[in-house]
Amino acid sequence: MSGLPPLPGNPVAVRLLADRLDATAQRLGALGGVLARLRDGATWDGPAGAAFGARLDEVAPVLDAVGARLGGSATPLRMLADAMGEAQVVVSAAVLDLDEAEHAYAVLEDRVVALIGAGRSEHDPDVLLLRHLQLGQVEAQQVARARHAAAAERFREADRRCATVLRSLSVDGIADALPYRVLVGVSTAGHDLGMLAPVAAVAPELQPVFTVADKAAVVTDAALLVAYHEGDAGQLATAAGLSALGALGGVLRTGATLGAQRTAAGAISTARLTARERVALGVVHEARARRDALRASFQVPPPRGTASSLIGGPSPRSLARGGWTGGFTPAAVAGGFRVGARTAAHRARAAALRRVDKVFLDDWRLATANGPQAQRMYAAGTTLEVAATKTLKPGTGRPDGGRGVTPKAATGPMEGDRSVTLEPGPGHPEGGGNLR
Amino acid sequence: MTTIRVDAAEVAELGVALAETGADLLMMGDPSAERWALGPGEAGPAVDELLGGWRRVRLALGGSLTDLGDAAVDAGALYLDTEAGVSRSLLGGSW
Repeated sequence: MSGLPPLPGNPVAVRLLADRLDATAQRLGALGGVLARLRDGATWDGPAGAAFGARLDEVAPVLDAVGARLGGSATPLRMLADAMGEAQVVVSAAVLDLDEAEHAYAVLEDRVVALIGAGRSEHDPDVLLLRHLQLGQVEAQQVARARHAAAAERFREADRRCATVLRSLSVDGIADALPYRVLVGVSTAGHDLGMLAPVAAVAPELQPVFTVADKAAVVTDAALLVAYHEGDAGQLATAAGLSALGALGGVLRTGATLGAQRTAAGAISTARLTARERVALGVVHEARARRDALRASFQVPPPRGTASSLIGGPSPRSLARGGWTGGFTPAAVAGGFRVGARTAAHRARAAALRRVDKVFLDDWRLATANGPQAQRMYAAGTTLEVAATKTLKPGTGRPDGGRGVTPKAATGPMEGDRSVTLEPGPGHPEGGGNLR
Repeated sequence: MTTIRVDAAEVAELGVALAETGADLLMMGDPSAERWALGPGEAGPAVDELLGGWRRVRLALGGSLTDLGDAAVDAGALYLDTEAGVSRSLLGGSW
């Protein structure tokens, strides 16, 4: 092995990073365009649209700044990737050349030693020839070293240029202030060290370090909470404007189960998510569900004149609104026609109850796998959904999550009565079947 | 006189897009994960700074977009509900 180091780094990964940043910047730019159209009233012209547009005015400049920061980094990163790839080719070749030259030199030296051992002198023509060939290998080594050094220097220069551009992009109106950076840094380091606390079991002398680190993390977390409003799930959700209890409950319940997967051995957590991330993902999940329900409401056939409505069953529209079809298959409706609507309804209710119970326990297991914080979030979401269901009459106010399941127990997700009543809720685009 | 002209479905779609973008911003991972690819030079810390040095705004923007997205989906649904209710009262439909 030669003494020349390889050039670390991965140009393919750097290009991917540049592509990702570019795509994100373009996406933010496109979103900014849509928001601009909205502000112009093309999509939403009315008092509420104007109020929405006013709030967008605060967001748009920040989106532009983020787009400039991320998008501006793509070109220097791609140039760095090119320089890295080129330098790595040269460096790799130089390392190989040096290895070969050193090996050839060693072989020639062995032959010289053999000749000397056989009684030849240093002035023997054969020995002189070998020494001459060795000089050639030494020159090859010098050339390889020089090429290595030149390639490494070219890369260092490209690295410096890229860093200069990136640093200039980082000096903008959205950069974090120094006190905030210090708090975040201490919090992160404290949590990282705190996670190593079990090591103290085998290295007791480190216990004070872990204890101090964990306390530092807690203190800085508190500072972040108080000074910068980075707090727990409830506060985050409130800050996110999720004022409607039912929606908030659904968001929390969904968020609590994200990042965990069902396996044959039970539920396991596969992603470490913060409370804030869980709330955000829960919002996206709920928003998609409601958007899909809206789409579905435009796609169902008219309620009159269908086989279902002719025999007195529920209209397809009301079923599609809630995405709820359990118990109202054609066969079930025909059966209901024979045995009576009341019996069919009881059967449907019992089936729904079993389904809700299974889904609830399943979700609770996922939340449990995600840890105590997710458990608390799930319990809070369940409680809020129950409160919303009891507060809002069907067909009034904001939909409370008819798309979800809401155990009756308000005291805790694993306690009390989990019985449900099936209550088709007219008036909600997606709330055709409220289960409570 | 108040004039309202709205595409409820488009407003809801916009809400989803806003919420997704907000979540993406909130979920942006640890920038140091990108550092290994850049090698030991100056670009690594610069990328760290570029991607991680706006955490506060990132979290606030992510929260705002999530908030606005939720509101837009809400509004889209309510507009549709209202339209359906008005239609029913005028036409006697069977919603």
